[in-house]
Parts: sequence; structure tokens; C-alpha cells
Amino acid sequence: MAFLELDACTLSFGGLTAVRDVSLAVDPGELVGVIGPNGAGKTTVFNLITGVYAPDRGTIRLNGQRIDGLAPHRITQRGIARTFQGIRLFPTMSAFDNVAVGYSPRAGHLLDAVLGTPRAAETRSRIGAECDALLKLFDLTERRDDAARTLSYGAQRRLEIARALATGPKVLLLDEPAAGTTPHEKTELMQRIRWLRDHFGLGILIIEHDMRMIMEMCERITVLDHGEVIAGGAPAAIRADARVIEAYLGPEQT
Amino acid sequence: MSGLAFMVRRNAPLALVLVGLGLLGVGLDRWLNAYYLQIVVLIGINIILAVSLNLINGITGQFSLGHAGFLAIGAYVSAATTRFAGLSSEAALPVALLAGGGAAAVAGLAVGIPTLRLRGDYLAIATLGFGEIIRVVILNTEAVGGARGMGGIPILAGFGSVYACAALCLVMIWRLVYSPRGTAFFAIREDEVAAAAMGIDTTRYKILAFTVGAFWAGLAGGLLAHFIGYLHTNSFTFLRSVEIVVMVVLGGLGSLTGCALAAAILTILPELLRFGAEYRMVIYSLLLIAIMLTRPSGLMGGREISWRSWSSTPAR
Repeated sequence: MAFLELDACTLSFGGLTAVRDVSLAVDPGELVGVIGPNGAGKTTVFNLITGVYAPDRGTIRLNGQRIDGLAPHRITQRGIARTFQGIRLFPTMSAFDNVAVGYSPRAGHLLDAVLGTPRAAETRSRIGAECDALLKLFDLTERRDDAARTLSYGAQRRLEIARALATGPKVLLLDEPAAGTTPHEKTELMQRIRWLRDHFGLGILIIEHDMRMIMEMCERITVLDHGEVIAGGAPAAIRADARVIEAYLGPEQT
Repeated sequence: MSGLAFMVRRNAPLALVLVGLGLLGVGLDRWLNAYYLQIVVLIGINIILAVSLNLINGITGQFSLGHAGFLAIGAYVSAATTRFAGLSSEAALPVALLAGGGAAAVAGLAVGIPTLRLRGDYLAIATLGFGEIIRVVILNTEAVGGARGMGGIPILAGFGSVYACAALCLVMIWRLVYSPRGTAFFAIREDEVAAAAMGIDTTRYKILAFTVGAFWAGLAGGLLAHFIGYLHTNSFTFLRSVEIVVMVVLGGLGSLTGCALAAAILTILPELLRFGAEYRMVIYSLLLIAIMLTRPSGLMGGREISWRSWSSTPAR
């Protein structure tokens, strides 16, 4: 059984079935792509995994344990972190604080902080150092104390990934991480994602519209269309799949 | 260094400040002109109210208009504690204050759990309704004087106790929110969905903010009751809540020191404007408008006055 496994998940909003019988698996150290035309249900799948929605049918397991129906914060605490399609940083907080929020649930007890115990001081310096290390990893050291909203678009994207890593995930979900970035930033981002996978042994699930990026990076790709999985497998197989081509380009005219 | 020694050293400055304020209070309560003493003490009480509301409104981002309700609960419960138990020694004050603060905290918890699902305007209206309910219930409770008000409360609070509480309140809430775990409060204000995706139990923090904020408002009520010696529900109307909100907004949402400063300014201002007689409140309002136009994010914005640094992230 895979580390993160969706088994035949279905989710409807009223009469609209957003996701139907979707199965998906990610193992540590694996880069899995999720592609599909707009409105295919890719982000909804992310929202199912992260607990924003609970599936009507089907199960989601992390390390063998059911996580479907858990609240989003519980799922994050169990080791799934995400970024958002339209960046959702904490805009007026500094880059440092954005990352620090990721450590918050593991940052000791509030009572220690209020009483000024040695444990609180130790936690503060330990987490501060870890936050600075993460900022450095994402070339954000110079912007450490700047409000997140004042960062460039590319820097905001990087900060969002850094913040997600701060939660100590085993699986990372990236929702269009390259959207709106320059070609140079894109290349850099790809290197960084690969590095994260290798260095932290993360399982990474990535939604992306940039085909070159997906094809180059991912070992496996799942293609969604109208909320259903229409193809899955290695990039080469996906590229040649008739249903995928049809989903993107429409049926062949005769 | 042992843990205890560390804590003693860490908290020694605070203890010294508290002792200093207490000693200062002994002198001021006796020698300061009653009019000035009242203004100074009211500033201290307003600082507690503004700082505690800032935890809810400015830092956690939950717009509450019910602070006067918590203030009223604390005032009446603590006044009842001393009056009906016949306690009139100064030693009874801490008990009365804790009773008032505790009662308000319980009310905060009771109101917070159902209403914190609401957001923005809806939460504001629900908390406003709560505050009015409290006021009307007290108004109709004969045991605490009803519409006649409640008199005969022993005068136990003064400069020392008020400012010691204000200092404790400021330090406690400061340490709470400027701790690594406390970043969660700010995160909820900024983006609740993203905060939950960071593993933060947003409901718990919102309820915690509401309860701690209510506790201090209740405690401020206890101080007010035992300083003035008389309570009437007219002091706890919706307008009182608005006054505290104005302090928070003027000081800068999320700035604890900023709202303390604003509490002082807004308490003194109406007194300074007494020369304007009936135009006093007109001038007051115009000044408020002028300040908000020139400093739209409040006197301090999100910043703090801090001996450590001048940044949005002072104590981290």
C-alpha cells in the first residue's frame, strides 16, 4: 500500500460531481504530477486530501490510517502540507513569521511563553534558527523581515513552499507552483523541487499546467478530466494517450 | 542555571515594575488631586480594556463589539463578591478581581463557542447583541440594584492595583502573541484557511483569544467597581464597546503598545477639550477623523513600541 493513497474518492456539490472515483497514490521520494484541463477537479482533489472537503465516497489513507473527514489542521499535523493555487501567504506578516507559523503547532505550550520558562526560551531560539535555515534554503534571507505582500511574485511562491515545509511534512502538495513565474524562475523551481524530494525524501504531488515541467520532472502522471481519472502512468505513455490528447485538444475532426 | 532561577531572572523586571507601581500608588492615592487621580486611573483601566480587546479584534482579527458586556459582568460580579460577603479589606481585592475576571472569561467562552463560526460583520452583530443582553439582564436584576444602580461597593482599588494589573495584562498578552506558538493568532487574522493548512486549530485559538480578552475586561470591570464605588448599567452600553474599539483602531490593529497609547490619549482628550463646552465632543470627533486620515492604519500601524527593536516582529 502506498504512503498516501486515495481510493475511489467521489465528491459532489449538489448535482455536480466534482470528483468521481479518483484513485491516486504517492510514496516518499516520488514526484507525481496531476494534470488536466481547467475545471477537471485537480484542486478539488487537493482539497479532499487536505481535509477542506470530506469525500462523499471513497477513502484517503496516510501511512495506512484513514484521514478522510479529519479537520485540515489535523491532516497537516499528520504530515501533509500544501501550497495554494492563488498564493495565500499571511500578507502583512514578515517572511520570517510566515515560516514561523508553520512551526507554531509544535512550538511548545503557550503557558511556558507566558511564564517565561527556560523551555520557552529554548523553543524560541531553536525555531528561530530553523526558520532562518528554511529562508536561506529559498533565497529569502535578505527579505526576512519584509512583509510577505511586498515580495516579488516569484519570492512569494518560494516563501509559500518554505512555509509548507515548516510544518514538517512527509507529503507536499504543490498547486501550480510555477504559475506566473519567469522561465528562469521556473528552471530554478524545478531544481529546487527535485532537491527537496531527494534531500527530505518527500512525496510530492504537483498540479501544473506547464507540460514541459511536468513531463520532465514527474515519474508518474495522473490525468483528470471532468472529475475522472482518464489516464495514469509514465510521462511517455501519457504523451501518447489518445484520451489525454482528446481532453486537451478536443476530438479529432474527420 | 536551574529552571527556577531562569524564571526568576526573566520575571524580575516585571516584579520590580509591579512593586514600583504599588509604591507609587500609595503616594498618588493619598496626595494626588482627586480629579487627576480619577483620570489617571481611568487611563489604566482603559489600557487593560484596549489591550485585551486588541487580542480579539486586532491580533486574532475577530471583530467583537461586546467588550462592554464583559466589562459589566466583571464589574458586577466582583462588586457583588465584596459587598455581599462583607469584605472591605484591601486583601479582598484580588479575590474580587479574579471572581470578576473569571466570570467574564466563562461568559467569553460561552459566547465564543457558538458565535465564532460567524465572520466579520456577523460576528460583530452577534457580540453586540450579547453585550446588550448582559446590560438588560443586569438592569432587571434587583439583587444588584437594577435600574437604581449598585452602590456601597468598598473602595479598594487605586493607582497601584490598576497599573499593576495593566502591566500584567500587557506583559501576559505580549508574551502570549509574540511567542513562536502565538504567531498562530496573527495567522488567523491574515488568512484562516491558510492558517488551518499550517496545522493550526483556528477555532481553539479564537476561543482562547476571546476567553483571555474577556477575562481581562472582566478584571478591568472589577477595578472600575472598586475604584468608583458605584455601578450603573448606563456605563456599559454599546457606546462603551465602541469607545474601546476606537482605541484599538486608533492605536493600530495588532499593536499592543499602540492601543495602550491610544487609550491614554482618548481618555485625556475629552478632559483637555473641556474649554470647548458643548462643542467638546464635536472637536473630539474631528480630531479622531483627522488622526485616521493622516494615519489610516492607526498611530502605530502594526508595530510595537519596544526596547528591543522597531519592527513588526519585536520579540521574536
